[in-house]
Amino acid sequence: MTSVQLWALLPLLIATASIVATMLAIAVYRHHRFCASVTVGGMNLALIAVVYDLITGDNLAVPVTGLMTVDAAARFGMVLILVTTLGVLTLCHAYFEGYKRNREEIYLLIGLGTLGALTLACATHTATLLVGIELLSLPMVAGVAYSMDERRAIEGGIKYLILSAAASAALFFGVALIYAHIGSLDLSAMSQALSAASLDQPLVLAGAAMMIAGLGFKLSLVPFHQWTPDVYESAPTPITAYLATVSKLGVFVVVLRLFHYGSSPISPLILTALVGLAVASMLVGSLLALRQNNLKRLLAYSSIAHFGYLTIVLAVPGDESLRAAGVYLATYLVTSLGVFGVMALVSSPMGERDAEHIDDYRGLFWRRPYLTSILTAMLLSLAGIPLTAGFIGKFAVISAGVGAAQWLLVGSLIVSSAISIYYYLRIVSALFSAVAAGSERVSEPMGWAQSFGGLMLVVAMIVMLWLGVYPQPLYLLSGQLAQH
Amino acid sequence: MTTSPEFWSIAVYIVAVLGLCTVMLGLSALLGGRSGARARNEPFESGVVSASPENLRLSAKFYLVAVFFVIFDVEALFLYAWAVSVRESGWVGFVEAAVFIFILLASLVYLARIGALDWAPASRKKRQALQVHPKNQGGASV
Repeated sequence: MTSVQLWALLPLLIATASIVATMLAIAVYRHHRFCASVTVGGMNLALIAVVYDLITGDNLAVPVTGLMTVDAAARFGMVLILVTTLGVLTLCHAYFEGYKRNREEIYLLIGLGTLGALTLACATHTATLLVGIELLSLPMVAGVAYSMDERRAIEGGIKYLILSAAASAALFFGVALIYAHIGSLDLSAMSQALSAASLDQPLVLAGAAMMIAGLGFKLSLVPFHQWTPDVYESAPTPITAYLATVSKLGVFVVVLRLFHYGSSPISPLILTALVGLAVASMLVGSLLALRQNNLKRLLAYSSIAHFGYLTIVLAVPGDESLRAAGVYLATYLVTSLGVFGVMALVSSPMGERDAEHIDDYRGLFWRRPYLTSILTAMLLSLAGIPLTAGFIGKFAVISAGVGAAQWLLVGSLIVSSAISIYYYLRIVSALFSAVAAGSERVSEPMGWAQSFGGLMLVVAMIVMLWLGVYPQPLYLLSGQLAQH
Repeated sequence: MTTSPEFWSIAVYIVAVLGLCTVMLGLSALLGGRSGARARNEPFESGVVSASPENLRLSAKFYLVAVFFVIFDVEALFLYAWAVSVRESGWVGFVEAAVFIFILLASLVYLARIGALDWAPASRKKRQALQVHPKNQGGASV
């Protein structure tokens, strides 16, 4: 290990150190804010390390031991992962303040998950892929089942454990099949095999199908989406936010390395499969969200549709679509954090049950005007209304799809977006409807704006609008994804 | 692929295995005598009654201890791999092993502090503390 390599790996090392520090902090002095600050401090340091590397370094790809490469794309992914993690951590602080049992371990779990996501962002070998994916999903099993007294949380945890283990098994069976054909475990060699796959290579095709199934499960693409609404519903709201953002982001960077970074465009057979997944995700996600009265389930289906939109970039070769992927990911993360953030703040002091039914939000505007305004803007951004970040993301993806003449994908995106406006506006209309006195359930403290969670929401709101009005810097930054 | 000699030897092997199983089970079913009794259908395990009531309750502590054993045992295995290559991996390997052991120790401290290694549940410990306390007081008064 040279100093250059250690320097490149610094964010991961800092993240690891902060996890151990949090564990020791819990052992020495169990205090909610103290333990939270240890984790948040560590993640901030890791973020500073990446950003420093991005600004000062010449952004070279630094291979570390053949298992990982810290390149521009990895650094871009790490920045997004760390920023989103910090957002989720502040939500956790607000949400778990009123929790009766041990509150501090959630930071440990989130830290471990983030380490897994960072590993995935740098992975160039299937061994690292395995470590990263397991490190990302196993802590989240405990996170989903965190409120142990609730039957529903345990059920969600077990569901997530079994299904994600099955998905990992499928993914690595696929890896093994492709390895049997090409004799290499490198992600670049895998990617080459995937782009050269043809009908006379049954091993590669079967392997590709199993890998797509495993990765599709992690990204909750239709038809591997069944777990998403159940698990999102039973998890505590900040963990739901984490599952919807960081957990998918880490996997998507690997998916880009596998299906997009090859020297030649993807094989037509696999392209057909990806197009099918994307179209099914967009349409099924939007249609199933229509009838949901539970906000978490609705957002689960909406995230299925959103990752369907994002899958379009895999079908479009070239750097422009990678740029679009970067823009889309950043806007999706900000917006999701905002929506789940409002939900977490509204839910937190209730303790017993999260505010997730649409009736809990009826007439929220008349009691909590600022919080509701943020939620409204975020929902409009998810729907992709102009002047919000969501519009920019969707625009980037559509322009990539149009550039490659993928009319089926672009058409389904438009249909799905049109459907999605209905269910987002349904929530918005509930927020502003009149409500009978005495029937309100939501009772978050008035001092939300002073808390870290409230501050994070305001920042997310500003970033969201800023990206919507002036997306140029994000476009430039997303070019990082194209440098690998 | 189907023309290679390995393929045919494996095919013969598989057929032979299946055939042997069929012959053994089939012949004993055809030729063997049969007698039925109540206890005959129970699994036989050296005279020990192998079936137990299904509502047996085990303390979750046993599970916890088993998991700790597996975790720390497997972690120790990684150290064996380092032990056979101490000279080759040099100081870098030493530092990495030291970090690894430190993280293991930290997790042991954590486990001890959260009470995962205490055998008695917290409620009983509290009860025991209460029992000891009044006895001492009683002894002093008498």
